[in-house]
Amino acid sequence: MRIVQHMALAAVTLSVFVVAIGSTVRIQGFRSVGNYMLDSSDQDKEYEESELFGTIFGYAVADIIRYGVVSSQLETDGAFDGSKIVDVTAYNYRDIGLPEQYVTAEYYLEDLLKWANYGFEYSVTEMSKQQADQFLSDLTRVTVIDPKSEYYNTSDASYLKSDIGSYTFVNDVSANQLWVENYDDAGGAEDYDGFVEGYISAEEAVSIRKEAEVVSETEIADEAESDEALYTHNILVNRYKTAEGKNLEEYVSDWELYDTLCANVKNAASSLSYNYNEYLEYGEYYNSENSNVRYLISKTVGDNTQFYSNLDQEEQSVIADMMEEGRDIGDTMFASDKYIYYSPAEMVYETNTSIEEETIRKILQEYDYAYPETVKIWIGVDTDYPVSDAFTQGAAGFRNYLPHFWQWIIAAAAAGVLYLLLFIYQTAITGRDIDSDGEPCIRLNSFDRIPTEAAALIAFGTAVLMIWVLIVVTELTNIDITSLSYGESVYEQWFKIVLVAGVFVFDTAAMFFFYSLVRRIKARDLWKNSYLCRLCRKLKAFAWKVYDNGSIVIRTWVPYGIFLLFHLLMILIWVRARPLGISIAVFILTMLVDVLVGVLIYRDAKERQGIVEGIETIASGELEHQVETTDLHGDNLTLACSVNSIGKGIKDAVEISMKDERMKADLITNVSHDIKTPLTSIINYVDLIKREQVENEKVQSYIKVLDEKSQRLKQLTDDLVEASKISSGNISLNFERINVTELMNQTIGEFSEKFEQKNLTTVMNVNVRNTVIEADSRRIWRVMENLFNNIYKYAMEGTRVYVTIDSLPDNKECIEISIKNISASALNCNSDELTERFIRGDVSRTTEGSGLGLSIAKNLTEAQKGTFEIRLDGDLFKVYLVFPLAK
Amino acid sequence: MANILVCDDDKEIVDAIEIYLLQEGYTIYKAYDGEQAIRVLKEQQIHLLLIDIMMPKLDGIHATLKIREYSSIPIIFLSAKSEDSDKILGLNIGADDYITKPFNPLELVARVKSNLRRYTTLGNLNTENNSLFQVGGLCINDDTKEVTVDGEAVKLTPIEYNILLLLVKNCGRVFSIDQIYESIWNEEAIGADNTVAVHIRHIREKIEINPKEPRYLKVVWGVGYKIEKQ
Repeated sequence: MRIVQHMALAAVTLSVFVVAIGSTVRIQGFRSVGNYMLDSSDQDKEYEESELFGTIFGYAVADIIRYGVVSSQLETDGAFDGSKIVDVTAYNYRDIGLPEQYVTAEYYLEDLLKWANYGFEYSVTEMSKQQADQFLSDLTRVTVIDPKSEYYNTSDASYLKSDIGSYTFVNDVSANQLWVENYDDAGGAEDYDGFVEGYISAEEAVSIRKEAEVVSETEIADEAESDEALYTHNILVNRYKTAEGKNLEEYVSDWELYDTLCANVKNAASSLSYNYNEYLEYGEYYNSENSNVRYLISKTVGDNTQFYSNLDQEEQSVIADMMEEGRDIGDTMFASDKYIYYSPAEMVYETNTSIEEETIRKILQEYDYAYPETVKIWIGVDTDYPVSDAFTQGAAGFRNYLPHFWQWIIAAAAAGVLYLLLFIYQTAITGRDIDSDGEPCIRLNSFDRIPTEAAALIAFGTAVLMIWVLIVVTELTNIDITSLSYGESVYEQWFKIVLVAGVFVFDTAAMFFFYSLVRRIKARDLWKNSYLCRLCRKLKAFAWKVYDNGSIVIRTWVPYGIFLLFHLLMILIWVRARPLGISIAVFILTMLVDVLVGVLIYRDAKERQGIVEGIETIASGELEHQVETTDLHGDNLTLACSVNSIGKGIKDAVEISMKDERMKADLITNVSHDIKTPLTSIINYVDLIKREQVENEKVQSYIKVLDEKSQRLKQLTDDLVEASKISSGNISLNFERINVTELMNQTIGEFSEKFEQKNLTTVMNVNVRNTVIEADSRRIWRVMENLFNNIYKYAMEGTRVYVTIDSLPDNKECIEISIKNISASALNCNSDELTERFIRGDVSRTTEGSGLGLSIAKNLTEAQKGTFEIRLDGDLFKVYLVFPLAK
Repeated sequence: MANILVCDDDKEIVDAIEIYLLQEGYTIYKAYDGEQAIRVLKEQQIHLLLIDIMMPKLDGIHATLKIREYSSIPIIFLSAKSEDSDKILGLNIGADDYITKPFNPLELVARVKSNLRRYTTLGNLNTENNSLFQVGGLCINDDTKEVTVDGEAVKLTPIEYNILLLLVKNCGRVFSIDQIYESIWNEEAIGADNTVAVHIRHIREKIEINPKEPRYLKVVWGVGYKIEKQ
């Protein structure tokens, strides 16, 4: 699948490459190499109908017309003629028209060409006016155009005179009262057409010059006055003589005219030289052996008809005949070829190409000095292309590319879509796998496990290597990647193979890295498996380690120091910074850091507050409370966790102890049940025996013991159950308002008989008015009952029992009940022990009682929010009960 | 005399109870579990049931529930379970009295008598006499100054009688020691002492079967005394 994907990309590249290079055809045109875009709208057309062909043909037409112009200047009867005589001024004025009178000189063509090649030299000479006058001729030779001439005022005239040999003659006819010097019949005097040359005086020359240039009166006056002054003149070195064998200065009598003439000579020579080079190149390029183009230009001036052509003699005659007779071009042997035929004089334009008459006319207009109306132009292209030239290149490029244009586009698109689909699919599924448990997972290969940076480096290295190879290959093969066009041999098959292979390899590598990246992202491994991440972790761990292991000094002073240093640095930058921007940036940065620190401090304080509140809640007895730890950080988290575990520990301990107490209470309850049933029988049967009126006194005393002990056993089990229940908190209290004075009176009343038995006197003192407390009436009675029973059992006979109700000296909200009596026996244990279970004042345990009474009393008192305290003072036994007053 | 069914899984206890009750002249039937008790109840004319709670097969609670579906005879629970909650449960499901083990045989007999009396004779007593006050089994005739508990005459001193009469007349109301003292002695109670309390104890000892667990004259500790509405 991966390989298909790479192949698809290679196919895309190939197609695009073919389209790219095919769409541009490289044409070795005249002088220059041009790249031409192929218009895809031409794809159904023949090459000869296409725009490309039209373009090439158009350039060829323009070239040939130009060639015709150049040829006409340099050739005589179809061959180069160096001995042609050139009228330099007329040549220069060939395209703008000559003035009626002008000064000129005539040279042989080859002399001018050579002169141009060597270059023109001026000698700078100083001479007086007299010398200057002597240097120049006395008279200026002026050529005058006969107004009656048919060429008068036409641009043709000037041009033709200078470049068509037959008109380059000088006619020394006296005209306009000018002295005519001589005749020259070099070009045939019989063709006289009205050109006249003559010599005029210096004064007249000035007047001519005035026509040409505007010279102010004062200047002329200045010249006249300064006869003795030296003048600097640029004198053209006469490398070649004129056709008459004269120097230039001999033609003029005025310096201005001399300078103009020199310039004309120089310009004409340069221009001709340039044209000569062009002529040679055209000749080479449009030679019938080098070009498929055939042309024939016929130019008739007067009776003279000139032909310019690269046709052979036979062909030329065919075309010439056709032109002569005005026959249709279709009748000729070139009918199957592409051609144009243009004859402006006859208003004939024939062509089987897309080139329009307008185009030809415009080209011709540029050279109207060279082409009279009588010109006839035929240009054809041999569509068999026997010779390799621009047309052949165009044809090859066109035929190679356009017919297959859509195929390539579709292929590229199809391969592109395929590539895209495969790319998306591969991206989606890459790394997907099923692990051993059947759960979907992301499988990484060994490359994916390389740290991210290393992998990126490898990828980068590969890319660099590939680009380097690409550069080397480009250098070695001299390929210009930027100008891809058909026609470069280097872009042939082998390059395509290299390209496809290159793209394949490149895509393989790129996708290898890309899919690895995708897998890393999928596995959320990109960051985790990077050196940077590891470094960050190490740094973090290190920081924490330093922080955790550091003393409190490091923990507080180091961050504080960093904070201070930062500010110091910022202040320094602030002071030093010149541009306002940096100052503002530093200020804002500092503010941001300060705000951040503030937020951190606030957060820390807030977290700590939450913990403190949690601790208070736990301390107040809500052992289930847990400090919320999700939003905590650092020390606070540790603190909160510790608090939570302490709270949990306390809660567990309390729960366990409660559970134990409850189990103990249950156990005691159950055991007491089991004891009670047989005890019932014992008591009942002892009672039954008693009723049997046993005579034996011994037996009677035994029965009495049994009776007492069984009763005591009953009391013991009851007390045991109650004590265990109270201490396990397994009782429910029903609080109501209790008047302690009333309670004590009731209690004393209840015990009055018992106390009388032992001759105990109760003395009660109530020192406060309000003695109402909140307590469970039955439970508080139980407390009093136990206490009074205690007194009944252990108080010394005939003593007084003091009951005092008073308020606490330091707390008016509480009342204190104190009960004092004198113990019958010495108390040999401490006061705390007395309230422990099964502790009794007499260690021998011979007296009646379970040993639980005080324990029960204490526990019940405390269950009712009171305090229970026993103080021993010698034989004085004091019990202090403190209860808060009812509100 | 009445037929009494005693039901307990402890045979000795049943036998002991039988001895006590036989002395009082009752006819005793014995059962050792709930099912037996129900069977005996169906077969015999039983006037009172003494039943243990914790028994094999069918316990006292369930047996009582079944018996209450068709019978309204007095049922007295006899149980080693002495918790308040046990007593409340027992009385709520239909028992008339609750005696905890180990019990005083005389108290047991007294309670049996009391319940039988209520069941047989006092249930339809109609009093229209203004000077006749009755609370449960306690009856005071102010004309003759006679006090009877479950039909038996009780001898009270004049002060005791006046205190009892005050409480019975205002049945359910709690009187403090001062209030009682002021209404009986017609004097202001200065530093009220335990005189009233002693009298109350004496009354309780005379009219109650078990003075420590009084049925009529109850002590509201720290507040005062009252006669419980029956």
